[in-house]
Formats: sequence, C-alpha cells, structure tokens
Amino acid sequence: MLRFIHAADLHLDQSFQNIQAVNEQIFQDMKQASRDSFNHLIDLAINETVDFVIFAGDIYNGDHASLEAQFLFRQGMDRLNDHNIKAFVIYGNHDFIADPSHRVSLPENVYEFPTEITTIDFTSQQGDQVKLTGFSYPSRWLEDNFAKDYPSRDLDADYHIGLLHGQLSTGHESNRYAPFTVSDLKIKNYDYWALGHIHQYQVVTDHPLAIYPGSIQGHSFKESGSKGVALVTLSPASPTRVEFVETSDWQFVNVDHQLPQIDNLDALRDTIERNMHQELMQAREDGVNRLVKLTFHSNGDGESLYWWLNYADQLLDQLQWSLSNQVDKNQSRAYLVDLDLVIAADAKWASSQLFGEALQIQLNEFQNPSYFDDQLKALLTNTDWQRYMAPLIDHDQFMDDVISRAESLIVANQANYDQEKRGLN
Amino acid sequence: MYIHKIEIYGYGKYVDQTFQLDQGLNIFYGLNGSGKSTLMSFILSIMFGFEDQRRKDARQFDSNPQAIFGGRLHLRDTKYGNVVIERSKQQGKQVLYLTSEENGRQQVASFNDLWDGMSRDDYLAYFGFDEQDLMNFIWQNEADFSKALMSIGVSGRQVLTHITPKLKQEADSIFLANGQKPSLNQELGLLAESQAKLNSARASQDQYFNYQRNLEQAQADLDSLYQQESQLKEQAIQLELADNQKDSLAEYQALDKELAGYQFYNFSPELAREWQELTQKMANLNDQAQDLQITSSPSEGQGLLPASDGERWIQNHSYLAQAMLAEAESYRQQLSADSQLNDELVEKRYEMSRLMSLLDVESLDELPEEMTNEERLHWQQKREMLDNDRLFYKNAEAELDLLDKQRSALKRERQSLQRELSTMIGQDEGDDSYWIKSFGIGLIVVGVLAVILFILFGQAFFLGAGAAAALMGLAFILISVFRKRGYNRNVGQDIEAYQLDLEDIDNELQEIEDQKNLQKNQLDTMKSSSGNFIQDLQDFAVQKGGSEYIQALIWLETDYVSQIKALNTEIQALEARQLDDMPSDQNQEGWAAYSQAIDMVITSQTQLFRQFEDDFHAARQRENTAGIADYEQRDHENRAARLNEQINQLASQQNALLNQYGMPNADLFSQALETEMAMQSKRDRYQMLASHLSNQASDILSQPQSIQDQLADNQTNLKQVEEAINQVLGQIAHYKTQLTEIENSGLVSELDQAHQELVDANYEMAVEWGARQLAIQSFEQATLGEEDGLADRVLSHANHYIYDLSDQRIQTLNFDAQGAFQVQMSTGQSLALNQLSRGEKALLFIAMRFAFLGAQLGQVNLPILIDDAFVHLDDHYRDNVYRFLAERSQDNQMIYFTIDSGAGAQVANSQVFQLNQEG
Repeated sequence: MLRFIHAADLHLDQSFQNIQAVNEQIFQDMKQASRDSFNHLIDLAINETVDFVIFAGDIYNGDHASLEAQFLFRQGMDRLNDHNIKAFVIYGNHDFIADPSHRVSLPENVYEFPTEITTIDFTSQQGDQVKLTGFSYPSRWLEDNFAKDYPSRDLDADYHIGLLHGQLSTGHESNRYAPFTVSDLKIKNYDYWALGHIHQYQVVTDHPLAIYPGSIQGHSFKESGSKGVALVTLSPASPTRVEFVETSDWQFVNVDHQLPQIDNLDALRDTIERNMHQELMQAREDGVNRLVKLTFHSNGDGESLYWWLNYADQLLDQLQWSLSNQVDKNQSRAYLVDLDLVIAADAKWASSQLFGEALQIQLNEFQNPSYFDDQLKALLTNTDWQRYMAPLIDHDQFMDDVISRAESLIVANQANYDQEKRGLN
Repeated sequence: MYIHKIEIYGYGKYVDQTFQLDQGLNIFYGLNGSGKSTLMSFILSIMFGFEDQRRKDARQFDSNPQAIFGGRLHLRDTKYGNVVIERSKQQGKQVLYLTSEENGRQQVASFNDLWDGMSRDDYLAYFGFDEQDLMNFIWQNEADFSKALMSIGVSGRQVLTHITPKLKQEADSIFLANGQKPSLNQELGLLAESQAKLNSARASQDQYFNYQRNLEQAQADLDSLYQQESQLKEQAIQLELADNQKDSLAEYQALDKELAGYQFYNFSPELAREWQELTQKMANLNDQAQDLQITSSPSEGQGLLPASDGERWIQNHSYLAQAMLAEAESYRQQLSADSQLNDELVEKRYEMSRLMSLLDVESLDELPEEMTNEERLHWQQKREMLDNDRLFYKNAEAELDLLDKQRSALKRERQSLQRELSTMIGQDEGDDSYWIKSFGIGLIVVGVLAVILFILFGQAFFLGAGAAAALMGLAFILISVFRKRGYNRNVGQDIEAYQLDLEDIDNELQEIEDQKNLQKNQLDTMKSSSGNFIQDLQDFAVQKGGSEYIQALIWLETDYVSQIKALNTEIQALEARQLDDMPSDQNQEGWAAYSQAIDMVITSQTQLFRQFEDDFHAARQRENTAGIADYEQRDHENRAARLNEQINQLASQQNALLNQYGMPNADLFSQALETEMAMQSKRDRYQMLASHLSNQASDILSQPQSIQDQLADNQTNLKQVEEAINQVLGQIAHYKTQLTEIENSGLVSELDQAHQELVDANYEMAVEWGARQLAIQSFEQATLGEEDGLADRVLSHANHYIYDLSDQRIQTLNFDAQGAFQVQMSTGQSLALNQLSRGEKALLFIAMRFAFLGAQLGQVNLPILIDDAFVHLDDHYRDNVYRFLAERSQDNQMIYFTIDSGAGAQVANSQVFQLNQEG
C-alpha cells in the first residue's frame, strides 16, 4: 500500500485580491492564510505518515520566488525530512527556475525534477517499488504536448506515477501550458497522474486516476470554495482511494441572492445583514473563515435599485466594520468583503420597451473589443496604466466587468432618475 | 383603458363621493385647497397603493374615522374587459379586490397587471403632466435643450440632460485623460511608486544570495585559516618539544661516545646473577666456617662460674653434707608448722576470755564450781514458777485497769440517771392546765360582774354577756381538770423506773471494788517471792566457791564454767608442744666447719641452712655438666669438615667460570661483570633516547636558527592567522545578520500585498469609470442614434403634434447629424431651437411627451393625469393646448385638474367638475 499527498499550486507568495477594504486585524490574519494552509499540509503528511508528498508545480507565484516563500517551503521540507518523508517537486509555469542562484537549497529528502522528462525510483518503507515521472518548466510557456513524451508504465515497478503541470486541452483548441488530452494520459497506463495548474479540485479521469488537487489557498473571489490537497492511497488489492483534505482556514465565497423588493434603507440593510448572518452560521458550522462577496440579482425593480444605488456602497463600508467587530475571535468568522449587483437578463431596462432594447443593443456593441477599447481609449492609453496595470489584468475579464457594471448603472440610474423626479413632486 | 367612475369611501376630505367620468377629457376645476390634489392622490393610491404613512413628507389623507379608508375605480376597456378595482385599509393593511365580468370579485395582491407592471413613478413619468416638469424643461440650458427634447421623446425621461451628465460627472471625478486630481489618476501615479518600492525590496532580497555566496566564501576562508592555525600550533608544539629535548640529546651524544669506547663481553644477565649467587654463597660458607672456629677454640669451662667456697666444702665433705641437707630441710618444715600452732593458741585464749567476761569474772579463781544436774534442774524449776507468777500478775494488773474503767462508766451512768430524775420531778409545776383553769375562772368572774351590772342597771345585754362568759369559764375549767389528770398518771410511772436502774448500778460498783482489793493482795505476794530467788541463787554460787559478783543467772542457764575449764586445759597442752619443737644439736661440728668455710656473714641459723642448701645444689649441677662438653667438641669438628667440602665445591665452580671467560681471578671477574652491567644499562638508555628523540627535533636542533628564534617566528605567524580568523568571523557574523534580517523582513510580501491592493483599487476604479463611459455612450446612442430609427419614429409623431399645437405655424422638426434640432416654420423659415419663445418651447415639450406616448408606449393606453401643467402658458398657447388635449383624448382619457376656470369653456366634448373649497 502506498500513501501520499498530492498538492499543487501553492502560490505561497501570492498576495490577496479584493480584501483591501477589510480591516487591519483581519488583513493580518489573512496574510498568514497561505502559510497556515501550507503548514496544515505538512502536519497532515506527518500525522498520516505518508510515504511522500508530491508538489505538482507552482509552489511560488513567480519565477522570482520571494524569499519568505522559499524559507517557508524549505521549513516545511525540513519538517518532512525530520519525519523521514520524501518530497517530489516539479516547477510549473509560475515558478519555473529562471535563475537557479536565486533559489534557496532544499534538504536532501526533496527531489526536484529537472526540465527534461525524468523517471526516478522510490522504494517505500514497506518495500514497494515506485516509479515517478515528471519534469519542471524551463520557461513560462510550453506550447508542446509533453505528456505524449512520457515513458509508458514501467512493468517491473509496483506503481508508476506521473507528475504533470499542465492544462487539459479540449477538442482542438490549444494552450500554452503543456497542453495534453485525457487519452494522452490513458495510453501511458500509469497508476496515478498528479496534475497541477488548475486551482479548483477536479478529477480529470477515473481510469487512470488523474487529479488536479487545486490550490491550497484561495487568493481572490475567482478561487472560491474549499482549498486543500489530495490524500491518495494506492493499493494492489483495492481501487485507488482519494480523499480531498481541506487545509485552508480562509475561504473566498461568492454568494448569489435575489434582490428583494426594497423600499427603504432599513430593508436594504436588513437584507444584507440577514444574508451575512447566514454566512457566519455556515462559517461556524464548517469551521472555516468565510470572505464573502454577496451578489444580488435585480429584476430591474426601480425602487429597489434606487435604494441599492444610493446606499449599497455605504452599507458595505459600515457592515464590513460591524461584522468584523461583533464576531468572537475564537470562532470561525465571516466577513463581508464585497457587494455586487447583477441585473437579471429579463429585467426591464426601461418602461419603453423600444428604448430598453435600444440601450441593450448599444451596450452589446461594446462586446467588440476594438469598439470597447475605443470607448476607453483615454484610460487604456494612459502610460501608467499600460506600464503597471495592463500586464497584471486579464483584458477579457476587464471587459466583462466593465460591461456588466455599465448594465447595472444604466438600469439603476434610470430608476434613480424616476425616484428623484418623484421626490420633486 | 379609461376610468369610468370614481367611488370614494373615505379619503381626505372626501367621504362617500362618486364621480362619473367621460372616456375623453375630464376637467376638475377648483381653487387651491378644493381637493384637486386629494382626488389625484386618490386615483394614484387606488391604482398603485396607499403611500407609506411613515414616510417623511408623506401627506396625510386620513379621513372621517366613521368611513372606510379607500374606495374604488370603475375601469373600462382594460385587458380584462370592464373591471372594478377596490382598495381599502383595514387594521393597517391594504385590502385589494378586483371585480371582473369573468371572475367576479376577487381579493388580489396588486393591480399591476392592468398597467403592464408599470410602477406609480413610471406611470407619472409618462402619463403625468405637471407644471414643474414643464417649467424645468423650458428653463433649462439651451445647449442641452435638443438632447432634453430628444430624450423626452425617445425615453420619456430626461436621460441626456439628467442621467448622462451625472454619469459624466462621476466618470470625470474618477478619471480624466490628462487629469491630476481624479482618484484613478492619483492612484495610477501611486502604482509607479509602489512598483519601484517593490522592485527595490526584491533587489535587496537578491542581495540575499550575494550574502550567501559571500558567507560561503568566508566560511571557506575560515576553514583554511583554521588549518593554518592548527599547523602553526603543531609547529609550536614541535619547537617546544625540541626545546625540551635539548638535554636529552646532549645525554644521548655523551652516551654514544662512551659506548663507542667500550668492548662488550656480551655477558648474559643470567651469568651475572649466577656469579653473584656463587660469590654470595661462598661468603656465607666462609662466615660459617669462621663462626665454627671461634666457638670451638675454648676447650674447657665453657663459661661456668668458678665454684664457691661453700661448694668446694660440700664436695669435699659429701658424707656429712647429706645429713646436713636433711637437717636444713626439716628445720625449714618445722618453721612453717610452728606458725600454725600459734594461731590455734591465740584463738582459744580469746574464746576463754570472752566466756569469762560474760560470767563477769576476772580470773579462774572467781569461778564457782559447775552445778550438778540435779542442782541445775531444781533451780531452773524454781525460776520457771517465778516466771509463771509474773505472767499472772501482769494479767491481773490488766484486769484491774478494766475494772477501774467499768467503775467510772457506771458512775457516769448513775449521775445522768440522777439528773434526768430530778428534771422530771422539777417539771411537775410547768403544767398548762393551770393557765386554762385560770382563764376559765376569769371568765366566770366577768360573767358574775356582768350579772351584777344587769342587776344594777337592768340591761338585758349584761345578763346575756354575763351568762355567756360564765358558761365559757366553766368550759375552760373542765378542760383544765381533764388535762391535769392525764398528765399526773404518766410522770409517776417514769420516776419508778429510774429509781430501779440506779439501784442496779450501785450493786455493780460494789462488786468491782471487791475484786480490785483481791487482786492487789495477790500482786504484793508475788513481788516479794521473786526478789528472794535471785538472792538465794547468788548465795548458792558463793557457796560453790564463786565470786559474789558473778552473774548467777548466766551461771544457771549456761555451761560456760565447764567450757572455760576445758579451754584452759587445751591452752596449756599447746604451750607445752611449742616448747617441745626446738631444733636438736645434731651435726653440730659439720655446721661449724661449713660456716667457717664460707666466707660470709651468717646472721641466723635459717640463713645458714638456706646457703647450705644453695651450695649443695650448685655443686650437684656442676658435676652433671662436665659430661656434655666432650660431645660438643666432636660435633664442631664434623661441621667444619662439611663446610670445607662445600667451600671447595663452590671454588671449583668459580674457577670453571673464570676459565670459561678467561678471567685471571674472581675479583677481576666480578669487576668486569659489574662494568658490563653498568654499560649495558647505559646502552639501554642510549637506545631508549635514540628511539624517542624525534627526527623533527633533531632536524629543528640542527637548524642554524636557534629554537628561541624559531619559537618567536611561530608566535608572530600564529598571531597574524588569529587576527585573520577574527576578521573572517566578523564578516561571517555580518553576513549572517544580513541574511537573517532579509529572512525576517517580510518586506517583499508586505509590499507585494500593498501593491496588489493598489492594483485592485485601480482596477475597481477603472471598471467604474469604464462602465460610466459605456453607459453614457449607450444612453446617447439609444436616444440619438440613427441606426434603429427610433428617433425618426418619435419625430414623425412629434411633427404631427407640433403642427396642431402651433396652429400650423411650425411645420416640422429636424434632427441633424450634429445632434441639434432645426425647426421648420410653415413660412419656410428654419429656426434653431434657441430662437424659439418659451411658449413655443413648451409646445415642443408637450409634443415630444405625446410623441413618446404615441411612438414608444403605443401599446399601453392609460388615462393621462394633468396637474395644472399649463397654467403659466400664455392664453393663446393655452387655448391651443386645450384644443390639442381634447383631440388627444380620443386616444387616451384625460383627467385635468386646474384652477383655470376658463379651461372648460374652451373645449367642446369635455366634462367639467366644479370642486368647492368646502368639498
């Protein structure tokens, strides 16, 4: 029986997005989140007395890995070493080694795969002969299919495990992260594929078992939900057992609600507080702190939108504070981090159907990137933006965010206009 | 759809009020406060709900508390046909009923379906006209007028004059292309700084690896320096060792020289030992031989003392000596026997004198003869009788005492009896009957006196009292007589008994007196007979020849006299024996000769005898020893022979060895051996030194530089290396500190996070800005854009209406590519909007509002509510408006609230309601 932990996408030195508004204390706690999750991973390995731990790439967020992260990782490896646990490491698109002199050396129990596909032997305490095949990224992008070049299963070994940091390519579309297909994996006849790159836990295929364990800590609302590692048990007698173990204390949570009919400030406040209370109860039940983004879906009701538009931001500021203040530190916490409004697709944009349709048509025009860029030219051609922001953001995402926000502005501002007009009467 | 009838249960001033409306234009005329606003509020409330009473500024339409709050509207031509909507407030809750031909009366949640979900605000925005709308519109910025006009027509809202400008303002506050102040401009500026900080922190982290390299180098340097140091220390030790070995080396060299000049025999150590043993044995044997010669050389005497004179005399007179010895021995025995006899004599004499003192005699002469047995028996019997009498006498005396005590006791008893008797007799007079009797007599006397008084004074009282007193007196006297008699009988018996007791006691006293006298007599007789017996016995002793002072009673009781006499006899016998044992005069001559022979002063015979005995035994001893001397002589000779034999044997062994090693004599051989052994130990020492003296030491010593100089050099080098080590250690510490500092700084992650926050903030703002740009663009395009033909549709309606409204003065409205209106007058003149009067602008507004209704909301047909919107228009324009409204009321029902009394007059086909201030 072979027992090991499969982790990937640690991104130990990645900073957190969208939490700047949360108070300082929570921020300090949050900063420890990646470190805590990693330490839980090491604790788990020691407590479960696994044979080894696989790190399937992206231990660090950048090729220029921060020292803090490197020290943290080395510390963890030292602890494994103290307990006679091996670690097998491949580096991925984020932490490929650009300059080896900028990496701290790791203890002897750690094997770092070179940039060529390499197979090594491992003999477990129980005497199982294990082959591990893998490689580390030599650069940020690998457009070739590497999985194809992996050797076929070593028939003499008890187990053969593949380590691969890459992105599954579906159909004919390709990608820049060592694209591979399920059949590439199947044909090798390995016992297990330890994948990395995708931040959400995902079983790619059952035969052979190929798994993305996901990241060990979410860093933004794009990485929501439970984060942890796969605890894998291979046995000749019984089918492979995989257990997902949550190692993170902090979850990013996206929650969607229908925006109810709101006709005063208290009703809006009540709506948000009630939902947050639910999140707090959930956090206590799960024993995991929740960083919550509440998204309300509006059917376009003018009055509700009026209240939202005028008070949601202020309430966010206030409720962030009040919720962080009222929660017992010894229990799991839930914090309101962001409030978002989405206008339902079937919502009436204007009382005049024709005008509403005209607005929708107009807004849709901006899905055309050149048209979009043209509209936002003033910002997009700004030097600072181009130098500091553009490389860090996903333009498609930016477009989506802007258009979606424009939509809610269009609807809400008309509602607001009506309300204000009414107020004048 | 139109309102057919308004039924008010209770609303504000209206209670149970009904208005029947026309399908076309309905005019409600009244002054301020006549209920126009209340009625309009009622219609809106029934359609969309009562306003929240809690709301600030909400107008109260509380009604007569007797009436139900609410009412109903009868609607015609709705999508459900003709219906009645009813809304009332019961216990704070709104209750809605919808009555339709199809479903009858049903409670519903809202009536929104009837107006296609349009809210109250939407409804008012599109179907409501008020003065304020109009005035705001016509007074607004001329530059925006075209847009406002178009917005009203296209969207029913002043999108381009109210919404987009607001959005634009917001967008500009976020970002301006060349701005400094807008928040995004500012934050983007911060990005540069933040990135720079982060880069520099990263660069300083890169220093980590430089420090690490430096550290490794320094550690390598340190290792090599440590090696140098240990070499130098080793060298120093060698130098010091060499210095210490200087003396040993000199010794080694001297030994080398000495050993070179000596030829070794290579004697084995065993040989030396063997030879030494031989020599030792030889010396021992020679010593023994010498001892033997010394002891055997004095052939006689062997150290015995020369014989004394006495011995010699005894040797010469052996025949006499034997007898004299016996005599001397018996004398010595006699002397010891005499001392025993003397002890016995002393003992007996002491015993005799003791017995004599007991008898109280001083010499044997004073002793009487011993009594014969008969005499002794007689006197002893006599004495026993006397003793018995004495015993009796003692008893009698004790009895006498007893009698005396009885007598005195009897006397005391008699006295007490006597006293009791006399008391008893004396008490005879103390009898109480006497007093009773006296009292009785007294009473009689009183009675008599009373009778006398009766007699004297004849008063009946006295007679009664006197009789009573006399009777009582008699009674007392009788009582006293009975008591007296009883008492006298008791006392007489007691006295008689006492007198008998006294007689008995007197008799007993007499008997005791008699007995006492008898006893006294007996005692006197006894005393006289006892005194006589001692005198008689004393006399008898004198008669028997004893002294008159002898203790006669002891003489009687003991046989001391006979014992004393026996002791005296024994003493005399012992004294006789003492005299018998005196020495005899045998060998008189012999003793004389002997005492003369010895040259000594003899003080007593005892001493003489003792000296003789000593001399005799000494002479005997001398005779015995004379035989042993011969034997000893022979033994000496034998032993000497044996020794010589051994000595010879050893000598031959020695010689054999001498020959073997070619030694001329033993002394030389011994000397040679001794030298050889000494040289051998020197050679060992030499070899030891050779093996221990290191080559390095000898090398060092062979250097031309002195060891001291070499040591000094070594010290200097060592100091230099140590200094270098300290320096490198300092560097290492420095590097380590730097490394730890960088390890612990956490600066990069902090800056990284800060930078991320900045990026997030920028992103957020960029989204907000971009969204506003898009929203503005969308609004403008939707309103003014030509692609979808919306504007054209609206304008064609508007043109139609403005022509009517302006009395055919205004032909058409044109919207040019620049987004500006051109007004085509019927005169063929083309005017810009700003060339129109405010009245004309108002007409344009009205035309556009109706154009919007016609073009955009054609599918929704609802009553139009007009709240005195045209009151400020010139009469000329107003009349046109009324006419226009009347015409448009063919499409939409119109409900017009106004204070203009002339409104109705101008328009045909209209129903006018006059509202009074009183309601």
